[in-house]
Amino acid sequence: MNATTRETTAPVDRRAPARWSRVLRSRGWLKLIRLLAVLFMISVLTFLSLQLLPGDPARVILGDQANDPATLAAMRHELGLDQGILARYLDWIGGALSGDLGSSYVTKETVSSMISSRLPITLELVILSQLIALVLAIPAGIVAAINKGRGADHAIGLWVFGVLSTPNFVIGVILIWIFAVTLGWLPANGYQPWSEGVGAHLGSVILASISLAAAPFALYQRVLRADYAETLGRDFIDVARAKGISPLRIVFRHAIRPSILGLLTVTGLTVGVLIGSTVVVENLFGLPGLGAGLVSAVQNRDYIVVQGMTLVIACSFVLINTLVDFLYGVVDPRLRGATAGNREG
Amino acid sequence: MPETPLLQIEDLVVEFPTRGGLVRAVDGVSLTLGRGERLGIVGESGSGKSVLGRTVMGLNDRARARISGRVLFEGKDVLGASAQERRELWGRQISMIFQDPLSALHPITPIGAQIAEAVRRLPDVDKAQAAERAVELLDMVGIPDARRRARQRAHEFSGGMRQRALIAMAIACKPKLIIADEPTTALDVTVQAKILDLLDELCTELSIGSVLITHDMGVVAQHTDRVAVMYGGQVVETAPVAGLFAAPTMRYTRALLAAIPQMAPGRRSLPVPIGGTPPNPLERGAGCRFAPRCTFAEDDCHQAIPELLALADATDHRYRCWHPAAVPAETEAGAR
Repeated sequence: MNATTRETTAPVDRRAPARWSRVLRSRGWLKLIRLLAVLFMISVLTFLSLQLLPGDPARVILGDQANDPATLAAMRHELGLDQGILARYLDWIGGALSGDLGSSYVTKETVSSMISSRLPITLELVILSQLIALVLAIPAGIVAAINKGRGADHAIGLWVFGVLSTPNFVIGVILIWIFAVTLGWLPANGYQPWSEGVGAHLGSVILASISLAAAPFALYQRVLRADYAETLGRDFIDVARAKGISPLRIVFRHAIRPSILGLLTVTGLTVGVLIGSTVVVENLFGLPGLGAGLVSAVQNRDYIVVQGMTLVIACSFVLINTLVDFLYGVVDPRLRGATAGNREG
Repeated sequence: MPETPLLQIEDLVVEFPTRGGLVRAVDGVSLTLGRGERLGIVGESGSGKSVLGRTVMGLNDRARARISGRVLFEGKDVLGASAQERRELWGRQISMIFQDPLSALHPITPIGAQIAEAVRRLPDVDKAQAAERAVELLDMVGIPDARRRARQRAHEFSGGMRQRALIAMAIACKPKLIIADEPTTALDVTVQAKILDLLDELCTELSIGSVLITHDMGVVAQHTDRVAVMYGGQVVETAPVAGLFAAPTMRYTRALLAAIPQMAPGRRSLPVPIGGTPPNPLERGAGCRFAPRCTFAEDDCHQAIPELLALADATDHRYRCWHPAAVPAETEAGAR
């Protein structure tokens, strides 16, 4: 009568002799192998894309002195630029695996120390803006779905489209004008570390987080509204009503979990967009994060820094989406083994 | 004073405003159901039978449907009741079984927890008792290894077992009335009979009245006491089940019966399909709703809707037809 149980889980039997076919068939290992392959491809592409760009870091560093071929050659040798592309890649990736991403051509600071001072700021911006976006989008999406086609839905929709079609730096400028210039509540720009006090610190990042959160908020509200409205139209919601379950319990217990997968997917994918947006927003608000660091490194042709930062950003994006894959199975046990953007059923 | 019937539907009209105009899905339906009685509602898709079921339950979105007439459950008005009062009825007094058991079950919550949720509508039942009762209910509806099954989810159940689980959910609070909307349409024929037998058995045991909504005359014959045939939103014939099959009077009922293959010895006949398509509720004529497809329709059939009249020798057998068929049914079905 029932032959569907095998779809649910396929646990690895650890006592069985390690046979490659079996290992490859189990989803956990398959995922790990795929993850490693993706990380490898990222490192290659990051490296290659910067090698193919025009401009020579040695010339940038030397400035006028670059006209002397001997000095230029000496500098190129010092930077390792005279070696073959494969040798340079292996040198770089070998160092990266042991935590050494090289040193800036320009400032001589190690790339890993630049990242470790800048990453927390960007990470905080991303996390804060995701929290703000989700906290606002979930109720807005649910309220709009419940009132689909009525006044509240149209009002929220209008607001959301307004936010969605405004670039984040414009929103940033508007926020600065309101809260820093007009009201004088928050600093217009500049970063305060935690050591300056929690209030001062949060005050220095909150406007940037809000302007980063605007676009994801709008996206999440749209996605959740559509999924949630679809769930509300399904039979099991009628069944729950016919059981006499209270409307609040239906809204919060029955309808949320089946509607949350789309939101989860876009939340994971949005991390990449947010990191990209920090490039603009960190510069606007004068925050010393990875985005601002990347911009100055690109301007200086400081490839080794760009490479290192890009690698870290890309890896965190991949790791976050691997986490999202894992969360699918937690939210909906039917989906154990599904992949972001590729869910079954 | 006579006993109040379990369910009384009086002149019920349900309309939905659409872009094309006002769709009258249920048009002046009156029906009565006694305690523990089994009522069958038969009709093609679009006949209004499912809307009728949902309206009786009070599930229709009030903002979208325009409803007039009365639905009385144990003498109390369901349609006029507040949301809170209706919620008291749902699950406790009236419950419903839906057509597609897969989409009717929550996809993520384990089956046992879904049934326990229904059990907890009863006063003074704690979580552990409800979970225990859910396992008992699953066992009662014939699911083997109920304790393990209670922890599984809808996609791990077969179609028949899903419908059994929904039946368990429907009887969790021993309601007085179950509305079953095409409960076996999505199931294999072999499973169908078992599910309907189970439903009959449980309704008899717990003296639950039932409304069985179906398009299948065969199902009605075996699993109901009284039948209402619906066409174009109206009841066109209603009678005790034996009377209906002995003397189908309205032409549409006859046509429905002729559409069932007869395989009894010496009485073989191929099914006779009903020509045409069910009427578009936006383009109804002034006459009998079935007239455009009726092979016996005459001019007067297109002029006015016939009244629901009682048969001379059986007052509980009423029909709506200008040119009713004469008994017996066999001769006509055979002649065609």
